[in-house]
Amino acid sequence: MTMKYKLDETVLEDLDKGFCVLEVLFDPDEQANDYRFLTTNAAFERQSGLANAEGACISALSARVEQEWLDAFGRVAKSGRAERFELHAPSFGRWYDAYAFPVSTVLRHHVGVLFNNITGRKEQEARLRRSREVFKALVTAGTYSAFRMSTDGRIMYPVDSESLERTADPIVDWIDKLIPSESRAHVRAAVDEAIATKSRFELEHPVLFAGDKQRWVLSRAVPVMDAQGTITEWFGVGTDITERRKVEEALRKSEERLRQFAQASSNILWMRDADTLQWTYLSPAFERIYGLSCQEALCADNPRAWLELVEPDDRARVSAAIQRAREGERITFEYRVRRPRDGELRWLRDTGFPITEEAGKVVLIGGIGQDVTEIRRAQERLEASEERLRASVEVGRLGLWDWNVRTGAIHWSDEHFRMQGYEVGEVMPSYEAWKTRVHPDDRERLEHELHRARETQGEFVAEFRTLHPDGTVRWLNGRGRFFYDVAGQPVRMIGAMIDTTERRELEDRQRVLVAELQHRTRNLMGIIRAVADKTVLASSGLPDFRSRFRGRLDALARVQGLLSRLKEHDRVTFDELICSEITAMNGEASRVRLSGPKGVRLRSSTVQMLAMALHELATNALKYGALGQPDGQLTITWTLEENGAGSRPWLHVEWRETGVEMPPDTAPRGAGQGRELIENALPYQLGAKTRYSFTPDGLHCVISVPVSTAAEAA
Amino acid sequence: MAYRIMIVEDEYWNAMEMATEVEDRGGIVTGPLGSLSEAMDLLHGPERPDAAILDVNLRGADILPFADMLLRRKIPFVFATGYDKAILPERFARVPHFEKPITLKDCVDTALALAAGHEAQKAP
Repeated sequence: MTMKYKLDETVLEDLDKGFCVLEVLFDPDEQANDYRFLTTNAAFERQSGLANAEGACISALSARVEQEWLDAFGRVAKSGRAERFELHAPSFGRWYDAYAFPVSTVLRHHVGVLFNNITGRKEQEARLRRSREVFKALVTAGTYSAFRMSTDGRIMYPVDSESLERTADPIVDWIDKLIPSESRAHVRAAVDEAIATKSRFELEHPVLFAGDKQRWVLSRAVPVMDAQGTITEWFGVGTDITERRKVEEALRKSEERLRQFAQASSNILWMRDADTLQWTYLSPAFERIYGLSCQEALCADNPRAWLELVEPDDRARVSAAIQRAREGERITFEYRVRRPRDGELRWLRDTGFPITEEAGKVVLIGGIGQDVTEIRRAQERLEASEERLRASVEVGRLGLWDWNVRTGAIHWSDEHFRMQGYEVGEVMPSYEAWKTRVHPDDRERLEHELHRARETQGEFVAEFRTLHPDGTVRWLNGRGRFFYDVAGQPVRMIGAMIDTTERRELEDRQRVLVAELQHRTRNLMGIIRAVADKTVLASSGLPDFRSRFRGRLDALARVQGLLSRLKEHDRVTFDELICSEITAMNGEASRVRLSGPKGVRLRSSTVQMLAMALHELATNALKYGALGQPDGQLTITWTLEENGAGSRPWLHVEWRETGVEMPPDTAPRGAGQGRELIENALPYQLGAKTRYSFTPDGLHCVISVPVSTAAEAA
Repeated sequence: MAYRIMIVEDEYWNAMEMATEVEDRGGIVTGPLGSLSEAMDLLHGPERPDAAILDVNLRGADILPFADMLLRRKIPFVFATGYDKAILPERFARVPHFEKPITLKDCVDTALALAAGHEAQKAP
């Protein structure tokens, strides 16, 4: 018989909890294995989720029978003692809080159960546990405060981070109280956002401390939610990050400075990944130099693309350099790139350095690239200019010196060495080395001039001799100048020397020639004057004077003509002289026979005198002698005696007139000036030996005169 | 009185001119001598000139030693030269000097005057 308990409807029906009385069924081993619901209240179905349970066994109502429950009800039935416990029905996903008690002392298998579905609460507890776990995860070193926060975000409850128990009074409107005014809006907005989105709250913000001090805090809070997903409160922690922020700020500033630096620099700051060689960073200067945007360059397979821009000849060198950087070397390399946009060639100089991580592995290559095109061009121009200078110094045979007065170091051009009788590079250029080769007689003068130039800041000019080790003496002309610092001290002297030896020799020779010319000219004037005087004495009147004087003057003029055509060391030869005289004899030349060697050299003084004598002889021959008479014949013969009197060469000239009808007396023809010349002047001036005699058919005149050897001067 | 004027000059014409001028002025010509050796010989000889006219550039010869000899013997002389005065040493700076083509008259005048002065010095 099934007992039905009449429940006091009023009490039990109003009961919120579920109530039932059940009969526990035992197996032969006295283990509870099922139970039958005898009575249930209204709330039973709601709480348990089992419908129409009265009269049914649990085994029929549910696929799963929780063993735990069977054990619990069995215990109560057997012991007759009430028990309170929580029951978990994993198949339903529910938790129950149950109180099971015996309802009858007689019917011990009958158990009353008062129970509550506490799933919600359990779930909430689970959530709380989870939150605490999350919360605990938030608590790190540096956490200085933990708190719980109200759902509206206004009230903060400081708590102990372990137990979550309150440690101090709640702070209402904590934002206004703890946060500096300028940050409040920001913090409030972040809190509101977290509340609205039910997400974690994380914010770095300043916090006011006692004494108006301010520190930076990282506040993090997690929401705690109920079964419905409503936030019940927040757990949070605060970590002091003031120091970290200072470090970060410093780093940020440093990076900002670096960024500005990179922006401003006209050099390309670049960074490559050491493994792939891909560029990871290019500063803006890249755009200006390459004519490509950094963006373009940073994507794509940039090592390959970049290498395409490098001049083919330079590619191997560039790749090798980068490889060395990869291996840990600092590198510097120069190369040319051709700009894609305009095809212009630029010279670049890159320095690169490896960037390693702590283990020493090279992870990045950093570098700075400089456009050195202008520098290179300037260098090329300089080199060309220096080459031109060097070439012109060499071609112009300039002996350049560049004297660093302070250090004593001197640079000499190649010619400078040679001018002083040194081999190029034979000695270290120095003041002493220079002075040693200066002729001893000129040294004092030179030192004096150097000193003068140095003191007066004027030009150094000096001509001096150098004595070469082989005894050669060369004349050098040097010009130079000192340069001074702001204090007026000489710091540098530069100058150039040229060899003036040849020029001086030429000048010397010219001086001699000019002197000789002057002498000859002055002499000539004297001779003309004397000849004029003599001619006056012999002339019978002005017309007579004129013709005689003109004749003699012309003879002198012919001699000057012969002499002036001479080159240095040349001499007038006798054959030239006699031909010149005969030619002047107005068409009678055909009646003259000449015989004698060519090339007998006469000294200048001899030439003049001899010419005068020959002129007299010829004039007389024309007037009175062989050339004035139809049958007359003139024969002039000459010979050279190599080794005559006084061990010198003598010229013997024989003037023979034949076929001449002689006058009856032996009175002198004309005024005898020719005779005087030949008999007196020639011996006087030339040391000549002469004989002037008349034979029955004409004049026979012999003139012997010493002539020049090759070694004699005019 | 007739002074003996020694003429040392290698140019025939000049020598003859000088000789004629001296004689025209009542002097006696010693020479003219055309070479240094002849001049030296004469100086060592019995005749002693009262003054001399000396050509500075006797063909290639250095007349300075001869001039020194004249100085030592206190025979006054003048230079006749076709070159500039500058080349003569200091000790001859005050010797009268005539550049060719010389003004014969002045040259001979000076020589005669020197001879007279010299003669005057010799007088007791």
